Amino acid sequence: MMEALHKLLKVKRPSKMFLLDMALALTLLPHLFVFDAFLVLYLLLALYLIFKKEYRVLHAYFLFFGGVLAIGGAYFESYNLANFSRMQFFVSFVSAALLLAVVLQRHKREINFYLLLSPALFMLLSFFFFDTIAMLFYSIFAFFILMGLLIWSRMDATLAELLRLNSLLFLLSMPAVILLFIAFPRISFEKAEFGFRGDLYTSNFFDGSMLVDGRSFEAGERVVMEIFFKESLPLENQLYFRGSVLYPKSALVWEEKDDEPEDFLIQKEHLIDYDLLLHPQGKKWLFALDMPTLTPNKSNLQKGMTLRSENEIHKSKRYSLQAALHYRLVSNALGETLEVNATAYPKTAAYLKNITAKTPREKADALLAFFTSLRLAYTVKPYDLDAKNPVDSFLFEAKNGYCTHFASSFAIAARLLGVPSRVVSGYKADYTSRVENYLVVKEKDAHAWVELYLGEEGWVRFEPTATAFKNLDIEEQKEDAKEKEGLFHRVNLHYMYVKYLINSWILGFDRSKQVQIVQALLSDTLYLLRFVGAFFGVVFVLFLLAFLIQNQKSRDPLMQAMNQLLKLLEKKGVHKESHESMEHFLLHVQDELKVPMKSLIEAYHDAKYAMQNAALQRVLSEIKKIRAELT
Amino acid sequence: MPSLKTFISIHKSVKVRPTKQFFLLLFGIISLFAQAYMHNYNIVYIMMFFLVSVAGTSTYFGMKNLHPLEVAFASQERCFAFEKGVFSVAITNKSDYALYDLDFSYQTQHHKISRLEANQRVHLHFELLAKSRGHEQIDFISVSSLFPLSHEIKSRNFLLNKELLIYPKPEGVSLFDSLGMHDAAEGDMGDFKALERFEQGESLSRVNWASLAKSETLMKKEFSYESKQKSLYFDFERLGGETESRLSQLTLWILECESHDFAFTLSLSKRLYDSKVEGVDGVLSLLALYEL
Repeated sequence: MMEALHKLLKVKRPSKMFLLDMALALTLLPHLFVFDAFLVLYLLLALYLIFKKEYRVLHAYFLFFGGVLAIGGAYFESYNLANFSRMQFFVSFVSAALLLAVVLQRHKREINFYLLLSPALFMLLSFFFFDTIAMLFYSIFAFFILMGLLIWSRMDATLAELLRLNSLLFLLSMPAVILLFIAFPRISFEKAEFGFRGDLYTSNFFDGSMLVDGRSFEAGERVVMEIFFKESLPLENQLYFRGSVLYPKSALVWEEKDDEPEDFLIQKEHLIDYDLLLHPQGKKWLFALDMPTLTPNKSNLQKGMTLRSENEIHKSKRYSLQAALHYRLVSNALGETLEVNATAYPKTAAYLKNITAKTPREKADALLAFFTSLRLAYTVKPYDLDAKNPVDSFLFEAKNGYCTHFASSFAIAARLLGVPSRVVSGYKADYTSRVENYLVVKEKDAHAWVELYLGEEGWVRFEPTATAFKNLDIEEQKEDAKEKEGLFHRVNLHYMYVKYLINSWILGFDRSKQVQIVQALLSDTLYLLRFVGAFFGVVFVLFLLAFLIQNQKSRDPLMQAMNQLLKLLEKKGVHKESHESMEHFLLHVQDELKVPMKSLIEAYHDAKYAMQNAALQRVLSEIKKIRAELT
Repeated sequence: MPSLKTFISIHKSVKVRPTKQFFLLLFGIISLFAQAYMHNYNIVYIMMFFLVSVAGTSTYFGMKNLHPLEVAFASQERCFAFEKGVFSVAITNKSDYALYDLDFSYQTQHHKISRLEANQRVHLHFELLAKSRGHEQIDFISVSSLFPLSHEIKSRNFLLNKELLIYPKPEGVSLFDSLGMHDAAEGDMGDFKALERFEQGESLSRVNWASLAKSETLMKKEFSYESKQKSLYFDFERLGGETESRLSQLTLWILECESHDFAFTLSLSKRLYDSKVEGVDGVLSLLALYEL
């Protein structure tokens, strides 16, 4: 393996055609993910004919008509003139046409200006297709290789020498790239809506309704959203991301209502800013931390203080949001939030008659105590419930369930006590899925909780699931907890964090972030110092790396030794003219400085021309003597 | 890494100017900017910044590629007016690293060196065509390179300030024709005078091999014109014609004498110059610089 690598590094400059082929192969790579099967087949066929030794005109005709047919086949279904105004169609059509032109020219085995330009064109076109982290890394890698190939065409060197120079070039370019990236003025255009996305997926888990039955709660590890808090992470019991406010449609089904009461946020404290990267879900829900105070662009604030995107979310979207961790939320119409048929839940109603609390707060506390006294158990695999009366069935028969059962029963029970209630569904983030200010929310963090209207206090969040006296899934949770402590989980979390940072600070870098940086630099001296320190730290590391790889010293130890001596003699005022032979020069030194040079001349000749290994040691030893004499 | 002093020295010694590919690079940057600007594609922005930055950084590597070169005048052949002469320069890479894609030029002549190893010296030969006798100045040798990227050409001039001596153009009537002799070194039958004993140190071309075979005695052929050798005398004043044609005639005769090992005496400006004393080059120099 090492031997093969060593051999590879010693490879000498290949032909210009080979270099061009490498460049074409590299830049065509992303297009292969976009090309239709017809075009890929055509490309394979073209490769076969191109690399056949003999050139035939018949092949050229075959490649031309074959290419036209392949393009026709690839775009047959989607072809109409109107499509040319669609960027995605247009760009992919242009890249297919470019492929045909390149194949025909390459088949002629003649390098012309257009063929030389084609790798750059392929690369330029591929930027339209992908805008992902993978594309970012590919682009930088491809640029590095393309530059290397370009330099190789001018550099009669081995691969190792080329890589060294190319790496130096890149390392020394990096500071300017970083500065330009941060400071180059951006405009606030919206990001283009076209393009294929390699990491697209949709999550259909959350559908804005809640079914209170005996089915198991099965949610996966898919990431729903990633959050970055600008200052610090809120407490664990504050990480509620509201999605929908639900009202009972029937005993079993809770869902959103168009005519829900309108809420007013009349007091907001402990404001916290955060960025939210919502992954595609194909729906409009936008999960905001309780209680949202800002409405991002192209979204609406619903009456129940939930956010909706104007359009379905089909690709990852980034929002800048703000939440009030302490708030007072009031409504002016609470009629429907008290609606309940007491006869539908006879057992619950009978038990609640024992509660004598007067104020809504006392009633809520009593209700929590009541739930605690029932010794309900938490499990994601509950027993079957009575579909006609899931509340009594859950509280007195099954006595186990998950957040949906706890929340729906608690809300009904509150109404039975005359306290307005509603269920809020969304996500309750897991505190273990965090790295510093970064938090990952997964499907399995889906949750339902209750809001009770406590008079002057307004809507207050309650967590009835917390009243469970034990967790029946404790073994599974132990496993889960063990996994979370495991290396894989930590590595994965950090990987996601890095991905998030790249996504938000490189791919998503825009004018707002530039303004954010400038404001912080102007207002915060510590930030300024850290920024400057970090930049120069990076520059130092890059230059250090450049210094380490700049090992282009002569491998001829004789010349290295002699050059050192020449430098010393130069300091003593004796300069070797370029036309002077070494012997002539050393004799001149002998006359000038009165230092015997005969032994050195002999040793030099033996080492240089007779290739005697021992002579090198003699040269070194003679130089040592001369140095001692001169100094 | 070079010191600041070296860096400044590199910057001062090497000139950089754009090539046609520079405009292609500019077009590429503008295209990337348009694409990035329209769609706020940070990947494209990053590629654009890399392109700008790498193009800029490559300038330093290109300049560093020319900086350790040393060019010195090495030697010249005899150069005559209106005839192509050759001079050579010694190119030395004084650095510990190899240099690439070097194009050395003198006037319209180019010599390409694709790689010059560390501490290596090579000699390049350039032709010279002088249009008059006397001194011909060789001011400088240029070196240029498109390494590492061809969007700009890096160049450097090496001042030689070397004056080459250009002798008069050798032309006129051949010495042998003017004296009624043949110029063949071995002579013709008609020129044969006698056989004489071969002396140590004499040219082997004079040996008469036939007599050696017959008598085992080493004899040499003596030609009639050789007896006139010691009396060759060229007088500038007595030659007819223009000054330049007389100088050309004398140059031709002197070269013929040299090729046949004839000694001669030249009378020029009322002074006599013996070839054995002044040497052929010395006498030719007198002709080259006559009245200049």
